[in-house]
Amino acid sequence: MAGGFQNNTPQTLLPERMKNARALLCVLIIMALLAALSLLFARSAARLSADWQSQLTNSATVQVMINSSESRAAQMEIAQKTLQNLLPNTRITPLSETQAQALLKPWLGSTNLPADLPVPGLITLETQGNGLPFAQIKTALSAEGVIANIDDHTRYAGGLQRTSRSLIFGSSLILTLLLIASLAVNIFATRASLIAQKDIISVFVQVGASNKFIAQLFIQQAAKRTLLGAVIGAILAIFIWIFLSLSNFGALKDSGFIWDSFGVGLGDILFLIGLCLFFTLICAMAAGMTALRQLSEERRRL
Amino acid sequence: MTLQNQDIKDIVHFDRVSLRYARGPEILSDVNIALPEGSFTFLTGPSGAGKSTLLKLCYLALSPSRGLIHLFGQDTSLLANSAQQALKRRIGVVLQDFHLIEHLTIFENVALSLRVAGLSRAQYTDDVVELLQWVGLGHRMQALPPTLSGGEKQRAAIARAVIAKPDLLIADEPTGNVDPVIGRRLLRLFAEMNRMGTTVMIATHDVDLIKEIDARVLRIENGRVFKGLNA
Ligand SMILES: Nc1ncnc2c1ncn2[C@@H]1O[C@H](COP(=O)(O)OP(=O)(O)O)[C@@H](O)[C@H]1O
Ligand SMILES: [Mg+2]
Repeated sequence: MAGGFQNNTPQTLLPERMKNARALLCVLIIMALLAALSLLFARSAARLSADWQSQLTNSATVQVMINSSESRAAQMEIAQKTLQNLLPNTRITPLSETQAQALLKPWLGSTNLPADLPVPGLITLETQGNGLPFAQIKTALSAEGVIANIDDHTRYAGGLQRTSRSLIFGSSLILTLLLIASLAVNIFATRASLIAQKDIISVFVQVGASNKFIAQLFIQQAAKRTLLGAVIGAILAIFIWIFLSLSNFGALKDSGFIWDSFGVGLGDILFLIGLCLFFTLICAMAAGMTALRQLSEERRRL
Repeated sequence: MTLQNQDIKDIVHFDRVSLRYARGPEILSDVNIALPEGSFTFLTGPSGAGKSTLLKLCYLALSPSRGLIHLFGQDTSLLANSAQQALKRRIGVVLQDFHLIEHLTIFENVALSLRVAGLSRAQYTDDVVELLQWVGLGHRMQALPPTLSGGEKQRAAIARAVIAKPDLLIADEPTGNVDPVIGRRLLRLFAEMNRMGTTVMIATHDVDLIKEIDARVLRIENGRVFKGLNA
């Protein structure tokens, strides 16, 4: 007799169609979108700074003080040999005098240098490893009688680090604020829903439902809408991010910057999934606590 | 005056109960009633006399302003939340306007109290289907309440009240919205349940209905409860 009874999953006890459900979902999507963008931004800033950091510590310019034009070739050779012995895995490229002059031109102007003030010899060092041993290089060179300055780029590195730290801090702050706003939205929605579903809830209470049972219904409701909003928002954020990195940063990429950092990698996706789940968890908990509090207040008023 | 728990064998026992809503007048004053196990009681009185109010006290939707109410021998003023929920599960309630949940099918509406009690779908499906067929709603199980006629809604509400086999069945004007024929059929259903051991209390102002069966009658007038149909 129960054969015509196909529907085997229990219906959700709270109405699926809530008043203002669509507006609520829109708000959640927008918050999740902004949160996902600021997460992507924070991660890109961190990655960019790490890239630059390693590029900076993996390259340096050695300025060899040339005594006179005649000794230039000999001095440069000693310096180059010393560096090659010390750093076998590093690409060592001595620049010709003309190249060096061209590089120094912005500082020296186009006036000809006096003959007794020779252009310093420049040697660039590039490695793939974990940075260059600047102190060792300096000692080795001076042991060979070469007086050299090493530009290790630390001046830039410090500034870069500070900048990226404040970028990360700023976007984490925005992320937190958005999370709090989503919590508030869920709390408001749960309160409104408790009022709108008053009659239904009184039936639940009448048939002996505990506050916990009823609160669970609101937890499910909040979890469902927040997860939906978060996933849609995160997917939109990924599209926007890819679009931005293709259109704007793509142009900059050609000019030699390290905008590769602004892609969306697997790690970013995992972080976004984590963000969605965290959003959902927190918002569902807020809804549950709101429902529990309101329900026990009402029982006390009886 | 104070009664020990073990002294009260009645299913419902009011001891000098008074009730007022907020700062309004007293609707019930010093009411003493006792419904023994297995009894069938009509509660009557003019409209606005306080019949619904008295029933609400019985099914724990209200607490008295003064006095003591014992249900199943338990002092209701001392109940913790969980004990209160357990008591509510022993009480089936049929309200005048049915209070069916509109977005749930008739099947789900009737299954509600079993679901709330923590039964799984496999555990309750057969019982719900059987009861719905018994009250003549077998073909309407998947319908939503707004599509039902008044009589069908009433039967659904009664099915929901009795599905968990309550020890106490309370009905507020259950025949108010249906024609007399259906009203009498419902009354036979209540009598049937009463024969199987359920204590029944029905509020009605329909004197003809009361005359249908031989049952105890309580009458509310001016906030006081009297025995019998007439003064
Ligand atoms: N929630 C309420 N708040 C204030 N007054 C109420 C409330 N419910 C009922 N009353 C009043 O209590 C009196 C009794 O109502 P009720 O118990 O519904 O009577 P009956 O069911 O016998 O018609 C009426 O005067 C009614 O106006
Ligand atoms: Mg009434």
